[in-house]
Amino acid sequence: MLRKISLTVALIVLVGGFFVLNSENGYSAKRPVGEQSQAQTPRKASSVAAQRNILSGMVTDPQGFAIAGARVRIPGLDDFLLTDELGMFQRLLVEPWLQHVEVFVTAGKEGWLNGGARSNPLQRNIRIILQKVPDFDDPLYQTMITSPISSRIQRSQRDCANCHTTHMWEWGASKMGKTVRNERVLASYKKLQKTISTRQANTCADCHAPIAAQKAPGQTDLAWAFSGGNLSNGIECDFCHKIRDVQVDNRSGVQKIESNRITLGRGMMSPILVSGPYDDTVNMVMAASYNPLYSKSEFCSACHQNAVSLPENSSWDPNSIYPEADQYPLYEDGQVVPDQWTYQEWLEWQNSLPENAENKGQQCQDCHMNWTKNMMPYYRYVVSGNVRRSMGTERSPKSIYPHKFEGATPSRLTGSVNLQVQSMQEEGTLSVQVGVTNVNAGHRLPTGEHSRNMILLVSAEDEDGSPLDFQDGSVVPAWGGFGGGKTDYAGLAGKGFARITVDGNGTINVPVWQAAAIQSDNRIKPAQTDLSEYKFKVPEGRDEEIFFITATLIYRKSFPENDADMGWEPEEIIMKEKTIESGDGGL
Amino acid sequence: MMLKKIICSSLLLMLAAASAQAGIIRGKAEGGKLLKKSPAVVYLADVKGDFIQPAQNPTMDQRNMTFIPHVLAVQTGTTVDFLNNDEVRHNVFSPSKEKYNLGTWPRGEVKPYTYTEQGVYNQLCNVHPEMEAFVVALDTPYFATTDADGNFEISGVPEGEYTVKVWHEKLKFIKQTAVVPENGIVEASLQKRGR
Repeated sequence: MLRKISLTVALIVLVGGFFVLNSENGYSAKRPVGEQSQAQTPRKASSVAAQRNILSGMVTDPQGFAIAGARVRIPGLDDFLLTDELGMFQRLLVEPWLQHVEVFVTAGKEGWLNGGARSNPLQRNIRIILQKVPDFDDPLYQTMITSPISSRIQRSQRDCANCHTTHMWEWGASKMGKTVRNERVLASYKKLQKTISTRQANTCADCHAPIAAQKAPGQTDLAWAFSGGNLSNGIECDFCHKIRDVQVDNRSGVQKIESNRITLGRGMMSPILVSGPYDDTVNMVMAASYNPLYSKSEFCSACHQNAVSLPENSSWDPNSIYPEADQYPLYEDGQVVPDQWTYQEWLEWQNSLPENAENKGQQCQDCHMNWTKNMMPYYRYVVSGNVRRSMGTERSPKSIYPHKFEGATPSRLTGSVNLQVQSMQEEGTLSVQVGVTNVNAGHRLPTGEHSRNMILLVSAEDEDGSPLDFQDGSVVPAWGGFGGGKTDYAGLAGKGFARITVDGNGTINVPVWQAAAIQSDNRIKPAQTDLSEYKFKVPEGRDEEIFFITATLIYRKSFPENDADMGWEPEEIIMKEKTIESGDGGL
Repeated sequence: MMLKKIICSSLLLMLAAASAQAGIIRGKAEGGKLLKKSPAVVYLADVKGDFIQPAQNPTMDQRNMTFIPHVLAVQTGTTVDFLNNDEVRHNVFSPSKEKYNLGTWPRGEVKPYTYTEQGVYNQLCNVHPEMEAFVVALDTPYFATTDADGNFEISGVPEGEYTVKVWHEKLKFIKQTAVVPENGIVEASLQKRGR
């Protein structure tokens, strides 16, 4: 960008020196010197200088009708203007480096393809024409495949990865890039097929293999998609960036999205229609359309909000578990059992915040499409290589959305909770209170699949490491695992955090598709603290000693019973561990 | 076994006292790779007195999505300057002890916070959940942060008997007794406790 500006400035200095010189003497570049009267000179001088520094114009459709509310911007800059009712805009070019150069100005509005026009120092008044996005979705459209593996077969000039290389690698390594080829998902799906109707089972592909499922929403076999029916590994670029709207309801993935799967023009050089969060992307390769939905949680709700419908005339009372349920339509008066419920959890958190709260308005993308330490150094272009010079827009890192979609990684889990441990020692008993606070997640902890759970373990020992006997207090429930394995914690001092389902026979912790209701849900809401208490026996005559109390919070992807059933190795992440000394001795 | 370790360590502390300089405790904490990633804070517990505050505020910087340093030990009453030197906006908050939220601000701005209560403050950013650091506020000026190899040195310690304790975000250490002579260096070898 800097190089571009420098070159343009140099050009203006060389070629336009005449105009600058004459402007200082009060002459317009278009008029010969002799035509100006002396009386007019001073006024003309300020007028020309002022015009050079005022960027103005109009945004219209091809027929010349004004487009109000369009976002007008110099690409890459943070600030933008909104056109008024007449489609007009005006901006002072206060930046010295913009005042003497040609400036490309863009405009974007939802439902329209972004457009742009050039403004030079002599003609700062411009017109930007926007074309309407065709209101059409072609079910026969062939979605472009960008998956790093399968694209070896398919890769062509129309591959997103050719320009967006960094985003492609980020996405390819993320879970979003592997939704089809996730062995655990496939194994769960096969188990599901044995226990419920095919129709119910086939909603899995609506999120996990959406390109295949888009041809037959709610009716696509995930195993077929996995075995080659869908060349994609995951949620493809061309799938996501063709989405036009998402209905916020309890259906799955492609059942509730509206797309614009169309090809503009013909041949390899026809621009690729792409929707996204940028209103300043204008080039020959992509027909980009600004869509604010891409930076809102509603977009993510396509797959992170759904529920399983109960049979006709069946229902449960969601208010018994979620007191706020009657305020939200997504609970559907208990005619559904929550499955992926993260969007609703986020919504309840946002609605609970006062207007001036710091996190008010924070969206899923603000956390899950944000920078992390392992992405450093920052990059400033969302395109790579030579494309940067020809079509790239230099951006501030704060307006770039890395595509790693990080979720339950160890560092995120660690930073999302806080443990508080307090103790009191009297008459042969060490009393302990443990607080677990969700300090940094905008949804419950844990969230997502109903199998995600957390285990809190609390122990006390003397200086030699000999444990104190647990006397009384909270214990890890049966679903914490009774098998005697190293990850079976049931009955130990501590607690379990999970959403527990129940079927019509009263069997708990059944898969959500077999559930009749939610029996309990003690997962921790944003900014909420869970308190639990424990008593340990201090050996006789050792009341004066100092003991060490340790609280450990563990994240688990699945319940032990399910792990055993599926033949999976338990996956655990220690979220936090804290050790204190009894009394006031520790920090 | 554990008792034997403690006795050995205490003996070592006493025997190693030399007369080269006044009031220095130096030594090494065992911890391997974990100490390279995250230093430990070695401090003398239960030392009473009116201590002078540091003349200059220590800084906790934010750069490349990281709090720098990862562990900052300060004396209670000290004001820490939180600086954002990154290209994106950062927040500074802690859910520990005094609980504070200094807000969110862009590059180049600084916000101060004064620690009045002893404790470990988990330092977080609510814009970037994976960012984490620790401020360890101590009622004593006698503390040190270990280097990557676990070495530390606490200087200017008055003559007397002290309890040497260690805080680390993951490791647990055996506390020790150090007898500091009127003039001299006390060597200490700090060992991990338990598993």
